[in-house]
Amino acid sequence: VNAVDRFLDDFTTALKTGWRYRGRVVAEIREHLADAVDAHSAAGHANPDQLAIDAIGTPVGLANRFNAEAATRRRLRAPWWAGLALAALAGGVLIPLVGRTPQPDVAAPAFAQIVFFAAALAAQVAVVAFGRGVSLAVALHRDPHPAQADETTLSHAIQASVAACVVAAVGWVVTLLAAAHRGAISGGSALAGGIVVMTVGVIGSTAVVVARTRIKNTAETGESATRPSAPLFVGERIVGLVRRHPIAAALATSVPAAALAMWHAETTLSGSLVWGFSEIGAVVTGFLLLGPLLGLRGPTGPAPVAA
Amino acid sequence: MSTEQLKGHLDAMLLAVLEGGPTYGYAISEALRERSGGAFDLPEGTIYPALHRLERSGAVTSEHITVNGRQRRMYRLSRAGRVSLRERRAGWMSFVAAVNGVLGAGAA
Repeated sequence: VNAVDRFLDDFTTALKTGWRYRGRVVAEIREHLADAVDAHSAAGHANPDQLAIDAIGTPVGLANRFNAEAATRRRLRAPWWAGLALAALAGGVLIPLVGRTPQPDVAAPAFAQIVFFAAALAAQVAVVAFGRGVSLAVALHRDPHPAQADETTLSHAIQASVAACVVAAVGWVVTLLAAAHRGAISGGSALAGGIVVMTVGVIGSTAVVVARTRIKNTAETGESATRPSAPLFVGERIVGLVRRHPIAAALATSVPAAALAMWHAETTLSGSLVWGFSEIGAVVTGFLLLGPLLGLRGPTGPAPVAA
Repeated sequence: MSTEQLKGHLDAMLLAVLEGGPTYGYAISEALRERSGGAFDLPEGTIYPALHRLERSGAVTSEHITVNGRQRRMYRLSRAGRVSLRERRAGWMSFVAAVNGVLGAGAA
């Protein structure tokens, strides 16, 4: 084993990337070292292997630079895992409803209604946080040097989306089990609900792991402080509007959501008002609690995207 | 010149090297050394993560091909990369002019 092989072994060991990216990186560094050794040999230098290794950097230092880039790439892919979890949840909600005849004259017990309402709220949070994550991922995808604050917000958005997705899935399963218990739906539908929870859990945990990928602090990477122009950052522009006009944004979101909730309540006027105002309260509370986490309000949000 | 001083400029310099046509990693590092007169004390491996970042951002494309019996990943400047280089170059020129205006005034 020569010095170049030892360097490549140490370098490969220090790489914390996926197998495909690792293969590309190792091949590229091997090619570089081979070129450098050839050049030093042609120049008549003694010990060309060591000269080539000395010039390329330390194995761990070099690997950390690639690890940082790999972490950014993984983090930008995290929203698509969260999207899969959301799709699984949506599919799981819809499957038990297929072919089911509505029973408007039958009211579910209060416990089931509350659980269903909580699940519906969690689903809304999941969708909003997912949208935030996707908009950030799209915005950062073309940025060679995403700001760490933006990547952190992206990570938070995915974690919030997945957590809400899991809560919604559990709530939906409890609702289905309650419905199956009183004979409103079949046992097969309840089983489908269980599959929803498991599927959302598996995909969601993958999304969280990907989103939480730690970024190694690599100094001296030649980072640029500039950000590219952003003609496609529609989501980020919407976020900018929300941050500048939080009250108008909360009203614009909560009122239609409340109207939808009242329409779906399928109950008396007073009953639907309870649903509607609960929805308004939930949207405003969610905005207050999750807004800073998702960079939708407060001073801890991401830097504004350049126009 | 220290690596610290290079921060923020490596991407632009890589784009400038690729402006001359598609080339591979070792040749890029040699071009950087020659054009700078050996002024940059930069580990050669540093250019690869930077090239990968530029590729992710769409400024650069790459393909793995065989040249003279040796496998090489060739990097090529994209249209977006040319635009980015033009903007970075203009930004650098105005920065240099501004700094020269300040530093040069003291020397005169």
